[in-house]
Amino acid sequence: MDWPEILNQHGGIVWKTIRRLVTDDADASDCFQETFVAAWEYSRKQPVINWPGFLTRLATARSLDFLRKRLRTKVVSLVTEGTGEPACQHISPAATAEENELVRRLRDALAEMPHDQAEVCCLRFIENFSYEQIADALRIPVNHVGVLLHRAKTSLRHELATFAPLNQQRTEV
Amino acid sequence: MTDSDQSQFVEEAMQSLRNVPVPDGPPFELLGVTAARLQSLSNDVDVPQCLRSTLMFRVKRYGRVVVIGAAVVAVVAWIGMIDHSATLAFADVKQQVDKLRSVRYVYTRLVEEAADDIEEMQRIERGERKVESGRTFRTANNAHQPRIVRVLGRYLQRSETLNAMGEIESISISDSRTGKHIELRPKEKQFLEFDTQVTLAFDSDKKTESQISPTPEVDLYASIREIPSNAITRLPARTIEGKQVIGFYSETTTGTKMGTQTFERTYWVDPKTKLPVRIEVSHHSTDKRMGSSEWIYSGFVFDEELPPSLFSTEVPEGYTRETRKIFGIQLD
Repeated sequence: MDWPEILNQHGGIVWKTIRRLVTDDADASDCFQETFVAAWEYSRKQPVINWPGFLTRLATARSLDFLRKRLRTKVVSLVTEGTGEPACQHISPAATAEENELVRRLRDALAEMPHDQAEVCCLRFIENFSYEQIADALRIPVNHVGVLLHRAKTSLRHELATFAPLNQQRTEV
Repeated sequence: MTDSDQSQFVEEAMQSLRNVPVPDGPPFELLGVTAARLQSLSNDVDVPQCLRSTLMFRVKRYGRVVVIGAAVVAVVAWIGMIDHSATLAFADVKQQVDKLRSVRYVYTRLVEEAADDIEEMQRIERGERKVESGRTFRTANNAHQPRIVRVLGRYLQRSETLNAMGEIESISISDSRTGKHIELRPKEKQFLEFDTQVTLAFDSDKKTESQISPTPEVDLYASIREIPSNAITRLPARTIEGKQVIGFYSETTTGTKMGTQTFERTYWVDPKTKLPVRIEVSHHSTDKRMGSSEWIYSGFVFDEELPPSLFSTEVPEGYTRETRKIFGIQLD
């Protein structure tokens, strides 16, 4: 297995996937290494056909594990989310602060929901996987992807209820 | 809001997570360390498939016995660890290290403000060297690249220097008993044999040449042996690589012509095995030209089977042999 080449080709995708969910540098670095070690372990048992998809799925699962661990230990990061830049360019400073808060709440909500729902949700909405790709990556029927996604959305709707007006306001502008 | 609006809101909210600004790629050092870790894992000896199957069968068949046994072992180990942690002394670590037959570890250089410079050494070789007051020697060209080091017995050492992508750039093999020191460069198919030591006096340009002489043992063992057990400070326990470890700290200072050299060493030891899990070393000098540096030994694997062929100092087929000199400055 040409690991240097795999790292070279897919390291960027893995890093991006992790950094969207894990903000702490040290945690993200650990998560990056664990993703590749898990890939190494898997690839010893069976061949990997789609490396980008496989690594994205592993990176998402590991990132969610970190989020969950962090939530469990009640460690509250005082570091500004991401680089502190607004996620959307056309909103006011107040909305930006709320947007960062929204991102933080989203991460917490993903950490709190069942692992399979969170994973499906991330792969669909963050990584833009199709239902078929998710089903393939998680080895579950396509219908089940729909079910998990529906449950995840219901759960997120409940968790993020206080942010709905912000979103409604923005879509009206 | 209707259900449809709410659903759209959740999707848009997730989009904001997707749009969080993230760095383009992983840090260079992270790639290097990950590549080294994967390389190190790949070098581990595989358990044959048939043996794995047999073990799985036995575990399934005697599952209950195994679970009870494991619980007993865990309790005994837990009690044992408490006792070991409380009583473990650095002398015990030295004693345990002395029993080792082989060791493998990853060597990572973290910080290097100044070090021997390849260009400087070439200048010395050409007789153009001038030691200028206050000049800083810059970092050696491969100082930050991780290396996988294997030591067999007390005398044989093989060190693989990896590039950022985890590919082996060079392999250095030395036999400290005979003083033989070679380097392989796989890409260039070069075999370099270092047969002469050139020593330069610090305060003059006087150069002396001699054959590379044998040394008692490789650096890892020597550095542990040199530390007097009573010059060690115990540190509180912490977790490294998933193991609860205790620390031993030592600081040694020596006066040389190039100022005072201080080495700080921290040995993080697994109380169960009495062997190091991680060693952190930092060096500081009062002389600006020496600067300071830090390095780490980690990923230790003890007593694995290492074929002697890994330490061969013969010219491999297809390689071109060249002889080189090793340069050094006499500090005391």
